[in-house]
Amino acid sequence: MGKATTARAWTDALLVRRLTVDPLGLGAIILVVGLLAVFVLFPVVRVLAQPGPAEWTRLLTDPRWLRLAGNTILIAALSTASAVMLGFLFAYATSRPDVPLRHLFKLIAILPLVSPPFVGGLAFILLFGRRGLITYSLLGLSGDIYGWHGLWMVQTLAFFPIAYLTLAGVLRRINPTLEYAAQDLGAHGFRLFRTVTLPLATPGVASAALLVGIYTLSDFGNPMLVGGAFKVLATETYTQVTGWGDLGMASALSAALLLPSLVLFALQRYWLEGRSYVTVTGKGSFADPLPTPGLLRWALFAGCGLVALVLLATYAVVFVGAFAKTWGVNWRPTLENFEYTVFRGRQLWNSIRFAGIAALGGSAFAVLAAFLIHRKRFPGRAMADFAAVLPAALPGTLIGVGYILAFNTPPLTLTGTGTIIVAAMLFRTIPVGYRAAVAGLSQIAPSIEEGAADLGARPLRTLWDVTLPLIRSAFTSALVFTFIRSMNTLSAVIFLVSPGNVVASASILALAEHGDWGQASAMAASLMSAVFLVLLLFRLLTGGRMRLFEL
Amino acid sequence: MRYRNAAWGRLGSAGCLALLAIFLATPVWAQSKPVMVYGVIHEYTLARLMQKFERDTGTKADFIRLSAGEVATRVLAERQAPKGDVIFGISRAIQESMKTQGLLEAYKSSRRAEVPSRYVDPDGYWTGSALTVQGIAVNTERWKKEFGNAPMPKTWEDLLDPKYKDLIVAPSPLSSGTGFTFIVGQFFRLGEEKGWEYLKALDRNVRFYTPSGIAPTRMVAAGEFLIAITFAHDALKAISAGYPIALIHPAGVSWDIGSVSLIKNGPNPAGGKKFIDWVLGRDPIQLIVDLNFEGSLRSDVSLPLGATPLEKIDLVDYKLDWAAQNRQRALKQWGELFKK
Repeated sequence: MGKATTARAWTDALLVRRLTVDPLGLGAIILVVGLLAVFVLFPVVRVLAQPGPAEWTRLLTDPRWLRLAGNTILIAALSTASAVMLGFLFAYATSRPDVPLRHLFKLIAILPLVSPPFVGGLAFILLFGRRGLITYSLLGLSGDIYGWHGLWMVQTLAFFPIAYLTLAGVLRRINPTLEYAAQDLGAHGFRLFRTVTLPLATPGVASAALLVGIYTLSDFGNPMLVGGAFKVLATETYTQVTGWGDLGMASALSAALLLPSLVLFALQRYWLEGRSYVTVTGKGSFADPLPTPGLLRWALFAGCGLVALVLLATYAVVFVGAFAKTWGVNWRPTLENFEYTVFRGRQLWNSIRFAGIAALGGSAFAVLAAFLIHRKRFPGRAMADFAAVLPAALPGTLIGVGYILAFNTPPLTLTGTGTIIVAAMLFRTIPVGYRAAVAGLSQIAPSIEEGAADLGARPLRTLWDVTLPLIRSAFTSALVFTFIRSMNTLSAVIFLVSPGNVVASASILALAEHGDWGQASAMAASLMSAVFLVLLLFRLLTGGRMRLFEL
Repeated sequence: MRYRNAAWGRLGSAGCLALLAIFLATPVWAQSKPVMVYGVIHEYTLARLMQKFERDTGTKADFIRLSAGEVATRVLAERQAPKGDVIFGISRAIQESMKTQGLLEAYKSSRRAEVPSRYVDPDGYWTGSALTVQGIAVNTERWKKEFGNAPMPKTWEDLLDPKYKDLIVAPSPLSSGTGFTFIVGQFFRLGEEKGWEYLKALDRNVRFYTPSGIAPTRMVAAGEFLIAITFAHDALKAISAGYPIALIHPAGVSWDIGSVSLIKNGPNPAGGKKFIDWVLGRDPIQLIVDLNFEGSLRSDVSLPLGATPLEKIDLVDYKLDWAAQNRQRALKQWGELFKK
């Protein structure tokens, strides 16, 4: 053994000895690392190990898969580009205090996040399909919306809120005094934008693009409903499982989808995260941004207004569909579509219940993990850090297939229970809370915690009384995000549902696939209302002091 | 300020724990094991059926609606520790392959005598409950607009007319039982070689193939397309909902039997057998016919509303063994030939 390795081994041994002095801390570390290993790393390994050489050969040589891969990349690129542009438009417009109705735009921009992403596809068909409200009943047009162009539009609208949230945060942190300074030096209007604002926002744009890219790659419900002949890898994974029963091929396809996802993820994490060009203190300056030129102001308003109208129409149409007897044929208002929602009310309750547990447990776990991994030193820390953010790169279908493979045999037989669904929801959204907590922790000087230790507090006491209150907003925003995301998740849980444990999102897709528009809309409307109600309740409980999505 | 924080923290954590307790306390496991049914028929009908089962027999039951292939996967994946007791409404070809894989248990219900013997597995692994026939669904409104008073297609060959280019939508046999039933129906009607010729010619008019079996009918009902390859019960359902559809049975339609089987080593085999005995009875079958518009194999159950009597439909000579044995090969070939 060389000198360096001996030294390392000695340090590791010291670390372990230091840890054993604090059994509670050690226990927490073992718990966190263990859970991450079992519920994040193990399923991925299982999926990668499942296909045999025959499946891998087929994957690489069958022209059908190559075409699908091409389709997937194409639509991901298109949708990401337009979603980021739209997100930037909204972020820029809402960051200028003199754009009219900007608070309304903020609210509408996050509307797509509150419902399952494929509800956008459903609404799109209801609005723009052959019997669509706009294309048929109003305009008498006839055209085919199925295919990559329809999918492009639907995905843009469904995923631009993610770009918007990222970019809004970035634009907000740009110090307006930089703009004043530039103006003093003679740059105005577009030149100012091009030379000052845009370069500062570039890492944010790249970050948003990478995030949206991962979402579009794993989007499963929209291509299913609107894609037509244009098929992508995510839906093919589903078809392999449900149509062929070929878990090996499904795993191979999931692995293929994982590749671009991982690339985007690695780019975002290791290349971008270090390069922030904005002030990190998080404090805005006290100066208002420059007044927006009149023409630009109205252009921004018009652009956002148009998109907002389309979005509102999209979600309104779901409510209209819920109350119409037979879409496109019989517009008589009726309540009978809700009869099924009530009859299978357990599904909605399951959604709420599972999402709630996942949100509470997940946020707590994420914060605990962030604290332990970034404040304590133990062997395997880097691995744990990787495992905590890895789920952000995993397509939902891969998680679903991985969980079936991993947890179907003793000692951990979770298939057929609600626990597996909660676990999938929980571990899928860990990265959000984890990253927020890590960002929050990085802004707290370690000397604060060292001070607490000096006064005799054990690590977990420090966490509870000192650190947690300082990163409370990370916890609560993770809570809200996990809840919403889990209520609306589909691609991961569709393989995991079982009798008694069906969730509303899976049911809505099944109904939409069968052409039961009325019942699908009724259930979707109920799901969205449930999410709103819970958010409202949460807002009331926290006395409005918590900031939800920067609102 | 510090006092407020501490109080908030304690209240918050107490609240969280209380909520957690409420969530977890919602009963997850029943006192006695309910009968678990993996059903392939439409969820709405399945829900009603299970409700009737619980009322009629007093046995607790639960179900999940899956597509045929999904059921096959699930039962295979669970074979070490099956969670389901019964599979219901599944196509025979898939059932045969499950039987070969040793996933099913033979159970000769007393009800078997009430169903014609050719719809029952002689070894007792599955019993037919419903007859489903295929056909063509045409959107009458669009037809009138685009073809006026011209006669609608009467035979399968009529569909090859170039005027139907991009107006037809069909299910993909790769993922749907409907699609598979359709293509083997053409093989049984014309012989395999001519069958492939027909499918290739039809492909020119097909806009695309859908992953789910019912999607074509749904799209034609909505007017998205003109003609769909469909199961009669899907079309009848749309008609009864008010959609402008005409259902046509050309000469030589394919058909399938929805059947019920007992899963090997299920958690509640006694309950499963009870379900099988019950579901083959007159009232449950009548319920399925009424809600799902499938045909019944029992002589004492009336036809679905709007259905053509069986004597008037020309069914192909469906060879189940051939279909089961050649399924993988046929699907592979289809996947290579047709890219839509």
